[in-house]
Formats: sequence, C-alpha cells, structure tokens
Amino acid sequence: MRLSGNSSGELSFEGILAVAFFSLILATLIAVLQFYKIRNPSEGGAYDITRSYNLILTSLREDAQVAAVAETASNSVSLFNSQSDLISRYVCSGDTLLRFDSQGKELSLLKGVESVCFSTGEDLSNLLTVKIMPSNRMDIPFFTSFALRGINNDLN
Amino acid sequence: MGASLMELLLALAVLSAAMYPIVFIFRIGSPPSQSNQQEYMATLLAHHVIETIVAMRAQNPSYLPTMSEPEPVVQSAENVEPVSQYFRHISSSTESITEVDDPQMFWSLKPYRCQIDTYYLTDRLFKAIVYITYQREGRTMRVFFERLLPQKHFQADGESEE
Repeated sequence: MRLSGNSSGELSFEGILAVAFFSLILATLIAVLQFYKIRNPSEGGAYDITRSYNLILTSLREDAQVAAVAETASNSVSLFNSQSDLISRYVCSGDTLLRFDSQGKELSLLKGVESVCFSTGEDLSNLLTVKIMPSNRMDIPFFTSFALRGINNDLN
Repeated sequence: MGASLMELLLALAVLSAAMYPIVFIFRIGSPPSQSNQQEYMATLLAHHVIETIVAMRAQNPSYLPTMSEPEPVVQSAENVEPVSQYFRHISSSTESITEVDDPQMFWSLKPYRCQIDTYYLTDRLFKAIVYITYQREGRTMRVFFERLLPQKHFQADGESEE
C-alpha cells in the first residue's frame, strides 16, 4: 500500500478517501430511508403495533392540551377548544384510524382496526377515554384516557 | 515494513470513521425495543389513571387521590378485592369491565393491578405515584407514573385560600 501512486493491486490513499466518500453517501441515503419509515409507521412490512399506538398517544396528548370539549360518536371524536373551534377529528374508516386536523388534512394513524370506542365519562366530561381493538387478536388493545386541559391551563 | 504498517493503520482509521455514520444512523433509526407489549399496556393504564386524576382535579381542585393497595382493574370471580376506582364506570353497560361484557379487553387487562401511593411534601405539594403491576416469568413487574399536585385548601363557602 502506498500513499500515492496507482500500482496494480495496491490501494492508494485516494482510493481510501473515495471509499470513505461513498460510505458517507450511503449513510445519507439510509438516513433518508429511515426518516421516511419513521414518518409513515403504518407502511412497510413487519412493524410493531406499539409504534402506531405511540403516534396515536402523541397526537391525542397534543390535542388534549388545548381541547376543552370532546364530541363523541360511535366511531369518531371531534375535539374543540374553548372558543369552539375544531382542533382535530379522529375517525375510524373501514379498518383504518384517521386523524383530520382543522384544515381537513388527513393522517393515517393505524391500520387493521376492528373497533374503536371514544367516550367521555358521565361525571367526568373532561376525560376522553379511547379504546381501540386491533383486528389481530395477538396484539394488545389500546386503552387509555386523556384529560382535556383546554379550560384549565394550569393543569399542565 | 514499518511504513506499510502505519499506512494500514491510517487506512483502518479513515474507514472506521467513515463507517461510524452508518452504524449511528441504523442505531437511531431503529425503533425502540418494545417487544414486551405487557409493559406497554401497563404504561397505557398508568397514563389512564394519571389523566383521570388530572380531570378530577379540573372539576374539583381540592381533590387529592387516596392511597390504595394493589387492586384489580377488571371484575372477575377470582378477585375478592374491589376494582380500582379509576377503572370503574369505563364500561358502557356494567360498572367495570367483565368477561361477559368485553372479553377481549377483559383478558388483556386481567393481569394488571393498580396501586396508588401518596405523599405530602413541603411547599404545599402532594405527590401521587401510580403503580401498575403485572407478573412476567414469575416475577412481579411494575410501571409507575408520578405527578406533583399543588394542595389547595378550601373554606366552607368553596373559595380557595390560595
């Protein structure tokens, strides 16, 4: 091996730099692919359902921070702030749970949903309870609640 | 021979440095290991309890959770203890989740128990710790969330002293 020169069978220093350069290019391409996969958790082959659950949890937690009222239906919920402006809407369409923001932009949160139940308590109207049954019975259901903090900001 | 060895080490150093970004990106890009769905379920249940406490305090700012022993979260014939108060009135037809009412949810939640610990702290603070316990491979595992709550003392007419 020589630092300079291109004798047959020897790896030059420029060659090593070229390998390093192409490694960085490869790393960049992998990074783009990974970020794409993170932003679309419901796509792709083998994925853990908890990744989609994390997305649901994060979305609902963010919306509940500013939501004051939740209007629930059989398979959907609409969240409104204290000025009665729509924050977001969660709808189970077919076997997919979708989130629509205030501009109507759609985001697919989870595929393979068997049933969804949004409810608020009779005594606690500011507590939104979400139950999601996945169609794959081997997966855990999603069950948790979210306090609507839009009225009492000091709760945060 | 000495010069060749130095060149070889230099080449290895440069290639190692170039490979590091690939390894690093694979590491941060891979999802966190959550193969244990039991633990994830326990986390959701602890989140449910904490959020219920927050919602109850929104309605009644003087409300503070009370301590409790580990209590079941669903109603079954095996358990003589009452269902944890944070898991009552969450079923549409019965007081708590039963096997008849919602079998899939019942069997998913049956392994879990909910315990509340509370502490009075200085500066009129109150700490509530929610433990969700479950068994895994013969060992008791638990997930806990804690939350600090300001204490508010109310006079007879309902106005806060703070």
